[in-house]
Amino acid sequence: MDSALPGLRPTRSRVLIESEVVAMVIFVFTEVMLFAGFLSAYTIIGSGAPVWPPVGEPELPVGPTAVASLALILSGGAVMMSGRGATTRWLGVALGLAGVFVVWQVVEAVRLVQAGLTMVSSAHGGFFYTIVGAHAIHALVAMIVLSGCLWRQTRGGLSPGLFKAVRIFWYFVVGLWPVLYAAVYL
Amino acid sequence: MIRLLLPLLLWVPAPAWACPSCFDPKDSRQSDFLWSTIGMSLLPLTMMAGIIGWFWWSLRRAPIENSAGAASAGASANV
Repeated sequence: MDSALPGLRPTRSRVLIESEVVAMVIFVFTEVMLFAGFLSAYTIIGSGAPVWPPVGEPELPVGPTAVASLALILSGGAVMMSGRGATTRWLGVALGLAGVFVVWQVVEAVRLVQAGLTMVSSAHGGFFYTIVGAHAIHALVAMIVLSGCLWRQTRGGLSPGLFKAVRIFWYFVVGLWPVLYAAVYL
Repeated sequence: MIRLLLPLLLWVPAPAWACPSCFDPKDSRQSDFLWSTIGMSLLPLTMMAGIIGWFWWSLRRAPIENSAGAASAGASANV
């Protein structure tokens, strides 16, 4: 853009925020509202029930899930470290820790279904699988995208903007989980 | 007909309390429903304020390049 004033050179500036990052922030914005809606409905339905969770349902594995949660949080730290250097190594660590979390979620879901907690067994079961399942799907998709980043990094074609956007998504997945854990498990 | 019904509905708001989430305005859900509504209303505004603040902070941090060297920087702002 040429300046209208004489003597001034054309004004240019560097990229402040990459387009991928802006797009991801808007996407995360909508995702936050999605999970806020889930939690809002869960809270309202739960507060109206005489006993919540309903009597006779299998107990949720609070302790083991806390350990799996720790793995997820550590993976967030590993992704943060991957943005500062040794990207390949830290991404590998993050994927391994995230894999522990997702595998545990699947194992837990199978065990709970076998114990009688299903999507249709009660409102609590329906909400549990909707909220925790939606988060697990997000974690799985984020893992696939992180794997894509790792693959691109090994080939030397990982763009900083894309990598930053993926990291933001992973921070969202990691940061959301303690909120869901406190609301659903505790 | 609507001219007659609308003032009547506004005059008697009690039926409007029977929303599908509360079921009963007197039960314990009402306060949770209220706080949930407040939270869900404030959350997008808070996030919007955060994003705008982040853009503003990024703009403030960015050096204004208005020199000959800037023209050769080769990059253009897209935000």
